[in-house]
Amino acid sequence: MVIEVKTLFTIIVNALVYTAILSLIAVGLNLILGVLRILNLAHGIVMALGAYLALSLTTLALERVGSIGSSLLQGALIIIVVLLLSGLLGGLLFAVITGYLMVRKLIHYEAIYVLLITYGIALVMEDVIKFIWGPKGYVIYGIYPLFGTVEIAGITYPGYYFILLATAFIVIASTYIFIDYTSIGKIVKAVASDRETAVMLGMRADMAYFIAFAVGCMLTGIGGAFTAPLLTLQPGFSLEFLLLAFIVVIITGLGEIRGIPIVAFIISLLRAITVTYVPELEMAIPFLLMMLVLAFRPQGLFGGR
Amino acid sequence: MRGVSLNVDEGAITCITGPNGAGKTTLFKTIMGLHIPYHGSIIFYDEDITVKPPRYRVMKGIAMSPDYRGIYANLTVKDNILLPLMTLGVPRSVREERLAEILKVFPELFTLLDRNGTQTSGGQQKMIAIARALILKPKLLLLDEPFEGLALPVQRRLQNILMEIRDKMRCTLLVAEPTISPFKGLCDHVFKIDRGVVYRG
Repeated sequence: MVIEVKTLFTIIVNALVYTAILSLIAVGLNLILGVLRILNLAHGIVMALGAYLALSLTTLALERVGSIGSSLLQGALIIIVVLLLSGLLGGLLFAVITGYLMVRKLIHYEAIYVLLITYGIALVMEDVIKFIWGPKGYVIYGIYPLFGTVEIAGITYPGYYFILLATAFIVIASTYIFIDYTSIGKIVKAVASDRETAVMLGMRADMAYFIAFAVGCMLTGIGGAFTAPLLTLQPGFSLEFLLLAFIVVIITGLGEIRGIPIVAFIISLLRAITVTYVPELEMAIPFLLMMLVLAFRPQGLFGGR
Repeated sequence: MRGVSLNVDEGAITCITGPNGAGKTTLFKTIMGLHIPYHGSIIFYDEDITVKPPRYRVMKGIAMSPDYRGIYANLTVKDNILLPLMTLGVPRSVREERLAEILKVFPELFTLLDRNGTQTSGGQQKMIAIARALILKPKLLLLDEPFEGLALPVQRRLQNILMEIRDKMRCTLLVAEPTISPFKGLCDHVFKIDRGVVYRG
């Protein structure tokens, strides 16, 4: 089988775009899992909140951009800022609404109760989203033209794809720097690995848990906001991303945030190849890989070091 | 714990001895605020701190080095030592000054600062844990089994460090060990604890 250069580039670009989205969601999910030991089944809702807020706020912003006669560059910058704010707001909103339950209650519960309660939160909030935005599908028009196009190997791609890639790179790199090099990040790491000693040293464990939870949610919210212009927004749209983010988390290693972009790229590449040649197996291949990792290296490719 | 009544003199080294399971760690954790007693009270410099959270006690000048060391594997030795100051929001310049002061007491830790917390020996980890508590400049330092598992030369070094802490830093030390042997010539007062009851030694 000979792969055309154009097909190859399309697969790689699509995989990179998907990597950016999955990485944002999976880093958020795994940060929460690593620090709070909570597997949050409502995490898809965080993505949805970011996306729907992006829908409302970018629609408002695009009207303003048109009416004040801004240049393309100004318009593009405004949209990037609005998308970032939508994601941060969506994540923070979810963190504030559920934070007390997560940090004070679920953290002490057995995993099965955590799964049931977070699944319940997902169902409730899914209906709240339906109540606010309705059940119909939305497409955000007017964002792609602001970012122009990029031509690679004779194929034209929306410039927005590369904005998404750059944003994901900067946000995830900032998260790693925050965790490894700031005092708050080090306190979060300390509380996550030994709560009792941390409290003995004067740390406010609840505050550290909430910070980790909020940061994880905001990462995912940003993932949702920047995904919104790529697809039709409708209730339940985040489920596919959540499932793939779970696969990335499991293959990387539970609670391990390093290595996620690499695993996300592997999964995204496999998905892009499958979608191109055998679309029926789109989800089967990533799940197969997950099962193989669980069978032969249950701690994940980057876990247990 | 039952009927524990214990007065600790300021600026002294007070030792609590007792077998494993006697209640030494429980007593220390209660003083530190990790356990809240059902009855009785804990008075620190005339203030009742019985139900105050651990952070409050740390800010008031109580620090503890636990028997299990509690060294963070995912942080460097330097970050392990500085962690309590980061927690209290102490500015970086002050943190560095305090670290320099602590390294005068523990010069052997100087070359380990950039190492991972657990890439150190058991004796070094004990010293890191004590340095981490001491960097808060506590009025009362609780040391839970600091000599446990240490070779004799390291024990002697630690004894000298404890006397230096008492004499030069004017810190009150409450030290728990299963036996009195590592303390000979070191303690000003001795208490025995057995099955949750404290006796004057």
